[in-house]
Amino acid sequence: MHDLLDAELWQLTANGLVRGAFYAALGAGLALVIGVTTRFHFAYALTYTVAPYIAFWVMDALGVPFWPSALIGLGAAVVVSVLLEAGVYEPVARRAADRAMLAVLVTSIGVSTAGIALLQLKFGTSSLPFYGPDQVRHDIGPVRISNFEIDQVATCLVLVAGLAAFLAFTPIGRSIKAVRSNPGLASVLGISVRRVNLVCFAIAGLISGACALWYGLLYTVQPTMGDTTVIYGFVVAFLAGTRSSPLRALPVGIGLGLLEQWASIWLSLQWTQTAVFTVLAGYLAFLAVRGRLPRIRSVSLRRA
Amino acid sequence: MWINYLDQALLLAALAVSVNLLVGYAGQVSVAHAAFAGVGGYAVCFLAGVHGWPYLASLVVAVLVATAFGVLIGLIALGLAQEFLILMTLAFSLGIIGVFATFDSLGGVMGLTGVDGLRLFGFELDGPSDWLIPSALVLVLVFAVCHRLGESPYGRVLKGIREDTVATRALGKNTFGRKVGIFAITSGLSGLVGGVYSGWLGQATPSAFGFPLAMAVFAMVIVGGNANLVGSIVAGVVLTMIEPVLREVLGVQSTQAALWQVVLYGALLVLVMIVRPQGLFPERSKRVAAPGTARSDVSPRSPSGGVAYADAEVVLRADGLSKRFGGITAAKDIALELRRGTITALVGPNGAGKTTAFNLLTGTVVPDTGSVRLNGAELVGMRPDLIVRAGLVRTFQDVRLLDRLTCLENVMLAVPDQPGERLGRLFVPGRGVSRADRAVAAQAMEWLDFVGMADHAGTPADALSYGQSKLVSLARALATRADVLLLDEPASGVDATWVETMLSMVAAVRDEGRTVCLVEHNLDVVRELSDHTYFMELGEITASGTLAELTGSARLAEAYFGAQ
Repeated sequence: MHDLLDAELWQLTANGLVRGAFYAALGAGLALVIGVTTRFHFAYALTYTVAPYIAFWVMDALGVPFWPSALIGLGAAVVVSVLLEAGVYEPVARRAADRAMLAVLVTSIGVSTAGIALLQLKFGTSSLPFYGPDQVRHDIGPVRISNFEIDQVATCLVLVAGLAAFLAFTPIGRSIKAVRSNPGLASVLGISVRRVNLVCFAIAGLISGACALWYGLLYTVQPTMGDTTVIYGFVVAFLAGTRSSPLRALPVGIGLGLLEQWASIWLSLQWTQTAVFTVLAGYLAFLAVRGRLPRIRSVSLRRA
Repeated sequence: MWINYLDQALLLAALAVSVNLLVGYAGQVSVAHAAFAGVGGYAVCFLAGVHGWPYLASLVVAVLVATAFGVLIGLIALGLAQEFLILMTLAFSLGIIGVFATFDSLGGVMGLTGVDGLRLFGFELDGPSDWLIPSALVLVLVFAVCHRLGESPYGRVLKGIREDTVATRALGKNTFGRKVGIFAITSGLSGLVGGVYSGWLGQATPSAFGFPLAMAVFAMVIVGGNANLVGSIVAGVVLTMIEPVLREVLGVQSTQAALWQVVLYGALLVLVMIVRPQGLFPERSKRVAAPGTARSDVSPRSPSGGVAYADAEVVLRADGLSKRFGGITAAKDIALELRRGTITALVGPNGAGKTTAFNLLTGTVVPDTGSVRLNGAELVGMRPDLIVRAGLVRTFQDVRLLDRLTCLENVMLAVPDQPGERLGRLFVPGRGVSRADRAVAAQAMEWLDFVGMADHAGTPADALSYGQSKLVSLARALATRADVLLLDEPASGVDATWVETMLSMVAAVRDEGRTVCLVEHNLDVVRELSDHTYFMELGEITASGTLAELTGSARLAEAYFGAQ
């Protein structure tokens, strides 16, 4: 009995790490967009969903093999993400001026829901048969893990580390960081904020697409697959901080993944869905109480 | 057939009206109101459908539960930056729908279905036409409540919160309480609409209350126009009719029609946001009939400038105020006195901590140590809005008028103790509230007249020149009837003629018997006005006296003007 629980705990831990890496990558991509462009990018759910749908379509209708199809799906996510910024968010934010955050959020939810409805019109409302290479299961000690899961974790870690390196070591990465800390000053210094924003959206599209393709291989591809994911992404992004290094998303995402899995030992499975909400509510309550006691508001700090 | 769609249109319009009160008036964005409607819907289907409660009783529970969730979320998220509210409501929607979908007692992913035979006041609600009256009644009720709240002094505070929460709080309004209140009220109304909606549908399903519904409601609010409730009703009815028109008139298959409707909503949202962000029916600013502009008792009285500074009574005394932000000492052991009917100036180089001193006095920043006593009462630890009510008001260096409100509304907002700002009074029959509001308007006009801006009463604040906006912000501070006014750079950034106007205004305020403290860089202004001057550098008051004494000191001149 004790061994059984022990084995289960190991399995849950492994699952938690796999899910956690996934959340971390998604959160890092979204944090980049929010921190640099200040867009409340709900349509991350759309770029996420588009990747496996386009990959499926290329495979199914054009008969292209899996890996090239996956790349095309990935490209589609990047393109959609960049088009969203250039064609929707940027004009909306310019028109809304000081109420840009509200306007962009609302438009983003609109575009996302509408885009997913379009996918449903084309591909139907049920899940797609999205199959790639064969899945191989390995038993490592008490833990059973598939090659997809290992590859997914590797992809996510590479994406997060790659993003961190990109920001730290490339000229455009440094421009991104400059815009993140002060867009006004950065544009005075000759950095094109528009271009930086587009690069951030391209990166976010890439990350969401890569995550979604692995998710599709591991589980299912269906129209509402992005809803939950985007919220996990938001929560990880805000908990890790939208203006800090993407590496900080790793402990947060993995922590969330582990918590979610471990919670299923003590709580009935039904409640684990609310784990992320509970964590968020707890964190915000902490912020609120901390803000109330010495009453330091960021606004007053800046004005001081 | 069409009556059924009309039921739906009326109910969704009601949901849009309640969301518009929150988004359009108070400027708080919630994605969760669709989920609150879901809470109401599930409450009704669970209690009335499964457990056979009377429909009316289950509706009451629906409203209460949704309100309770609203209060909870509001308390947690409304004191933080706006993005946290959005995040919290997103996560709540997901979490609550997840809960609906996983519990067998709530029907799991299929939801609670087959609810029928509901009765309301003895009437059986069976076919679509039976639901027409309840749906219309709900819309009328929600509209009446929201309109009453929105177009009243209460709504003016909400608009103030939307435009600038900090400035509104600095006029003595409890902005956090108001935000939680309006969030809870609109949650409860959404719960009510959801309860009727689910009764009409005969079911409550997880997918019915997800992001597509939230998005549909946003589309109605945005297309109809922010802070225009009639617009929400029109847009709600018209947008809901897209699906039946597609289906019945154009012969699109039913699931396809629903999807096309969502696509059209999205396209419409983007289009309106880019082409006409204010919506088809823009917000109307209330035209308050300008009361007679004859000057009354607020005009400058017998000049009391004759009171010697040394003899004047101390109104406000600060002692040992210190504040550190991390490793930076922003204020160190500040002690100062303000005396009745006199003008005290705070001067010093940029970054000396003058504005921080104002923040500490007004409670915007809580000091680490020290005390501030106004007429003997301790202010440290009091909420900033209560400090204003106690008689200490400030203006801002960057003015912070409420842009989309008229000058008159800006000043009216500042008038304290308005009965129309209290929920209880708004729903008492009679004309007490509107009569009181006319009196408030008259008072506000007097203050506008006092600063010479009566002609601009109906002008939106964002159409004013900088100098004019400073005058209106002075009128706004005066209208709070606070005893002590802290003026942050009243004469900076305006040209010479405006400096003259400001000078005479501040002198007139002093002659009213009020106590003034000003931060000012223009030493001519300080020389002209101040009875007493404190010199600040690096967060400390290092000298005080008359300006002549201070400028006589070589060391201070160097600290202020730099070595020359």
